[in-house]
Amino acid sequence: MTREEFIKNVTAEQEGLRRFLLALCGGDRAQADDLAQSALVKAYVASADYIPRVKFSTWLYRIAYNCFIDYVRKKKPNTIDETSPEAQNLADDSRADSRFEHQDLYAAIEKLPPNEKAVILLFYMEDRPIKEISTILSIPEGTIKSHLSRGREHLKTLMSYERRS
Amino acid sequence: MKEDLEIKELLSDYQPELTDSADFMASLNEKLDVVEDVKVYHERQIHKYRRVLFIALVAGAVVGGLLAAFILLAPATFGEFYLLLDSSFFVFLMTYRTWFLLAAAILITAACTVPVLRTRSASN
Repeated sequence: MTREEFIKNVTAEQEGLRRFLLALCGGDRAQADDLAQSALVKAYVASADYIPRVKFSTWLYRIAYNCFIDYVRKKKPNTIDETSPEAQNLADDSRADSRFEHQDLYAAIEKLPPNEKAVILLFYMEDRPIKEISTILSIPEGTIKSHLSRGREHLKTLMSYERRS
Repeated sequence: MKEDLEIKELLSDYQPELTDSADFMASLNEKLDVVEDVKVYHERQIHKYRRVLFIALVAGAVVGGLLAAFILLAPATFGEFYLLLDSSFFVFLMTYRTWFLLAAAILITAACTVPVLRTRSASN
């Protein structure tokens, strides 16, 4: 893949990818952009090994998710404190302000473990089929389904807790 | 099911404000330029490494060939000297000449390998 082709493909995918990383990073734009840049540079370096039988966007999301996992491992805690800058950014988001009733959902998503969070976001936000999510996260389809089901249950519990508090 | 639809509706509608796409792509292009520079440097290092390796290979083959020829010719040549010279050190050398020549060959090969190793460590 030439640099021009890579840039062309990335230009078409970058917004969705950044939105996905932004949601994973709990609204921390700077962190999400850093991760996106890092993932795209890694993708460019590995673009010679890219096999077109996998969709370019799936391949890109997979690299981005691995970057996010590396970041989470370095950062260690897999849940974000409500008083953290990330949670504050999320709460300060103008869209979140205009839809105050949904803030509990975003805060609840923040508390999900990375795998469940990614599955929920890819399935509901990005409309990705289970098979594609399985490729992106390198997890079997059955596990994706159980993550999805558990993620929904966790969200339900967390949201009812958020509403009560 | 109601929660499922609620999550779907909320997340499919989630359009957070992103940083400027043009700035993001410009920044990415700068990083890709650096990657290209590193790639060119790496290619040069590989080329240099291959050249040094080739020189070492040729030098090793020549020195090895010369030493092999010397070893093959040694018994006949040195037999005459052996009779002429009355030195215990020379006798010792002649007795273990194969081992001495082998050690010399190893040292020369090692000396040829040093530049290769230096190039590799420099490229790393």
